[in-house]
Formats: sequence, structure tokens, C-alpha cells
Amino acid sequence: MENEAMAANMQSQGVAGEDETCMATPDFASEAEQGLTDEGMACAKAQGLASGNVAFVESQVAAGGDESCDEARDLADGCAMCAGAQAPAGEAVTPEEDSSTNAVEDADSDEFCAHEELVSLLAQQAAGYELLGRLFQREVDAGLLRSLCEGRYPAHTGNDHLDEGYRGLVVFLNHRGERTGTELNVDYLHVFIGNTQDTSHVAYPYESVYTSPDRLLMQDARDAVLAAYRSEMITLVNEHNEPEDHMGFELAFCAVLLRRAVEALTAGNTARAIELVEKERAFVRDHLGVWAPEFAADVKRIAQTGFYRALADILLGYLEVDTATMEAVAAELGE
Amino acid sequence: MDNVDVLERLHSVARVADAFEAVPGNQRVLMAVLQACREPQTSEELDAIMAPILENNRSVHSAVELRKVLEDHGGIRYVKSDEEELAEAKMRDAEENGEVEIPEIDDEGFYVVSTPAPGAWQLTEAGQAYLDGDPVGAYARDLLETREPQYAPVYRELLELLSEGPATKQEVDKVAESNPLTAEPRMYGGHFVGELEKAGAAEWDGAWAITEYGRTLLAELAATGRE
Repeated sequence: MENEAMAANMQSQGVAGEDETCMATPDFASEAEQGLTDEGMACAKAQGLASGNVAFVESQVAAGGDESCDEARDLADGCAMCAGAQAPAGEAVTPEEDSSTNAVEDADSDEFCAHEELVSLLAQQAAGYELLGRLFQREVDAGLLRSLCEGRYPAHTGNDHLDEGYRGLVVFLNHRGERTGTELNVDYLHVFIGNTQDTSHVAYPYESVYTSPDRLLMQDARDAVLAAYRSEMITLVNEHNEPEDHMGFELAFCAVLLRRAVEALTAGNTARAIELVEKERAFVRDHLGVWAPEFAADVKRIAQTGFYRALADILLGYLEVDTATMEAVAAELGE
Repeated sequence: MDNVDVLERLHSVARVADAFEAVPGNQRVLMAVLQACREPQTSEELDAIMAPILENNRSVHSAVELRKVLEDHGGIRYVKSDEEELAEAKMRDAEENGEVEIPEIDDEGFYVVSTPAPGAWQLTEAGQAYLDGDPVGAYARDLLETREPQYAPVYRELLELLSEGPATKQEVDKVAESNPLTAEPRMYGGHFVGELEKAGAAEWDGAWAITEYGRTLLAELAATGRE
């Protein structure tokens, strides 16, 4: 069955199996989306991420609005027929167990189930990218901090970076106090914007800085990223005049690609879904994967709060898991 | 109490008074916090007290920052709850033993994000002494007896106006500026109502209104005939 094949495929890649892969994504997608909405930002729309002052505006895709958002959230909540993508570890059904049940009896149901699993998986990956993108784009506000506290973080994902990141994040959240928000704002400034002349003590969140010989802004990487955005008819609306190769935007772009893949799959356009998944894989490989490790190392070195040190680990872990997951998804879609 | 103790006490009370100078324009909200903290208050409870006051004073300081100012100046202190103490001890132990702190994991394999019972803000001895010194009355006395005794009639007229009901800025200006005392040097209504606000006798809530203390002050002015 396709869903079994997919799970087996993921395991063969050395990645956590079907349920474990989903476990690698914290179960905070819907809460986080709600938090974003509460703070006056557009929720993580199915057609892309829009977030307050800094947003992607898609010039071609029909607006999905909140209905699309709800739809995506519903999809992310998983297929009732499947062994739930978000099922707790203890309740997750292994492929073997699944095959021994009578829940899915005919080939059509199997195909539908696998399709829904893919949609769910892609939506969940997109939600993770949206949240990560938001966390790097600007400071954590009260609503987002509240949402993070309501999130669920798996202790054992099978990825060392994610494990360390989630542990560090929860330790930080468990020691939060009334001044935590202020501390995070100060640390965001300290780490990503800088309050020193010593540039080695700032983790500038731009790909160009990490990939150009002189560590300058607006270099080749920015042009390449801009071209990637334009290839999907996406325009960056950016009141802060941040370069397009900002970490937050690159992560948000991955979310847009995966949300569109969800739409394509839902509409039965598998060819388009494959194209989008391949684009996302290429973008991660050619951009995020190139500079994220050094950037994350700088964040861990410079950050004064456990929050941003944990975020650096989560970023690395998420990219690693996503790379393997999307490879499996691409293989599944290609069959 | 020997002289050293007296000096230390005076110094600590003066530090509390300095908090009001550190964040000018926030006298009312700071005083409300001090008054409220005569009984233990959680941050959430203080937020509820402070929010309506901060709504109208256009302060750049948040409630959290203002509490920090009072704490730094020794007026209030935060007493952690037992759960907060326990969490802090756990972190301290892990650091001292060079261990990594592992949060609790639930039956489903997820970390537990805990929300410990909140501690409480309490008035310090210095904060208590500051309040016992009747700072609000002291400001008004200083204003009317030392700094601007010549304008006592203007202040009384303004308090009389406000005692009749909330007044607009224009109405305040009209009363203040029609008094011959304000002609030379030219003085405007904003100065007088601002001083009344600092003295805790008037407050802005979409219009200028008299406070309970303002009514007391008006009665005192009328009774003593300070004009």
C-alpha cells in the first residue's frame, strides 16, 4: 500500500518512520496559527504566509483568505481514515499493525488514505516553516509567547538537533517570568540586529552575509532568492526594507511552496505538486542548507537567552528532517 | 532605632521617591501599585489595576517595566511561589552539577511546559514607610504652601469646576486664564491641572475629573481659607 511504502521509504532514508516523522514536527501548528491571528497578523494562509508588516503578496494566485486557512488547518489535522499523522507516539499505528486491521480494506481507500497523509504531512511541514519564519522575522510578542507555551514538543524525535532544541525551548519556557517578553526582545536585538560595532558578535540573518566573501548584504544570494520568489510570482512586501534573503523570508517561502503543493494535491494536480515539492527541495538545498549551519552556530554563540539558542537547534533539525521528508514525499509523488 | 538605622530608613524611602522621578508622568499608576501592594498581588492582578490608568497617560513604559522601576527602587518586591522556587532550585542544581536540565516528559512522550503558580508582589518596608509619609498630601502641601501659594485661589477654582463634573481642556483653560493672577506672568490652564494631577487631585479619563483626594483637598482649601 502506498502509505506503507511511504513510511518504509522514510525509514529506509534513515529518517523516523511515518508517525515519528510527524512527531518531529511539534504539535503547535494550529495553536501557532491562532497566535499569529490573535496578534493581528494574517493567519498562515493556505496560499502563503502573510504576517503583519512583512508579508509575501502573491500576485497571481487567487486569494484563499481565512477559509483557505481553515481548510489547511483541517487538512493538517489529519485524515480520519489514516493512522493519524498527529497521533501520539504511544498510539501511532505501524505499517504492520495497519495492514492487520480492517480499517482500510480496498485499494481505493488505500490510495485516498495515502493522498490524505501526504497532504497532511505537507501542511504540517508548511506550518513548521511558517512558525520558524515568524520567529526569525521579528521579536516574540505576548500572543506568540503564549502560543509557544501551549505547544507540545516531542522529547525524542530521532534528530539530535530537534531533541536539543525542543528541550532547550521547554526549559526556557518553564522558567519564564513576567519579564521574559522583554528579555526576548532585547536578545533579538542583540543577536540579529546588533548593538555593537563588532560584527562578529551579531548573527545577521541574511544569506548574502554568510555566502559572500566580504560578508556583505545584497549580494548574489539575494538575487538568486529574489529570482526564486519571482518564479512563483511572489512579491515581498516589506515595510522594513529587509533584503529578500532574510532567514525569516526564506523559511516563509518554503512554507508558501508547501502550502501550494497542498492546494495542488487537493485539486488533484499531482504534476504541479511534484514541481512545488522539487522547488522546495532545491531551495532548501541551494539556499537554507548552505548557510543555516553557520548562521545557527553564530546564534548559539551570541544569544543570551536559551530561547534563541534552542531556536538555532530547531532550525537545523527542522531543515534536516525536512530534507529527508521531502525526499520521501517526492519519491512517493513520483510513483 | 539608632541614628544609622534612621539614616538608612530615610535613604530607602528617598529611593522609593526617586522612582517617581525616574518615570515622570506615571505618579498615579506607581502610587496605585504601591497602594495595592499593601496586600500581596499577582502580576495579573496588578495588570488589571494598572491597565485602566495606563490607558490614558500615553506612557512609553509597560506595566511590567513600571513594576521593575518600583522594584529596583526598593518600593515593592516579588515573592516567588513555592513552585517557582522549586523550578529555580532545579535549574540551579543542574548548573552546579554541570548537568543538562531535562523537563518533565508526559506519558505520550512530549515535554511538559509547566505554568507554575504565580508569586506575589508585596510592599517593602521602605514602600510602606513611603506611603505612611503621605506622599500625595506632601506634594499638595509643598505645592500650595511652598512653591505656588499665590495660585491657591486658581487651584481652588479649578477643583470647584471639576467637582461639578468632568471638564474639557477648554473649560479648564477658561477658568484658569480668566483669573487675574494668571495674567502676569502668563500662566495657562495646562500647568495648573497638571500640578493637580501630580498631586493626585485630578485625573484624565477623556476629560479632567476630580479624585477623592481632590475633594478632600478642596474641602481643606475652603476650610482653611487658603487664598
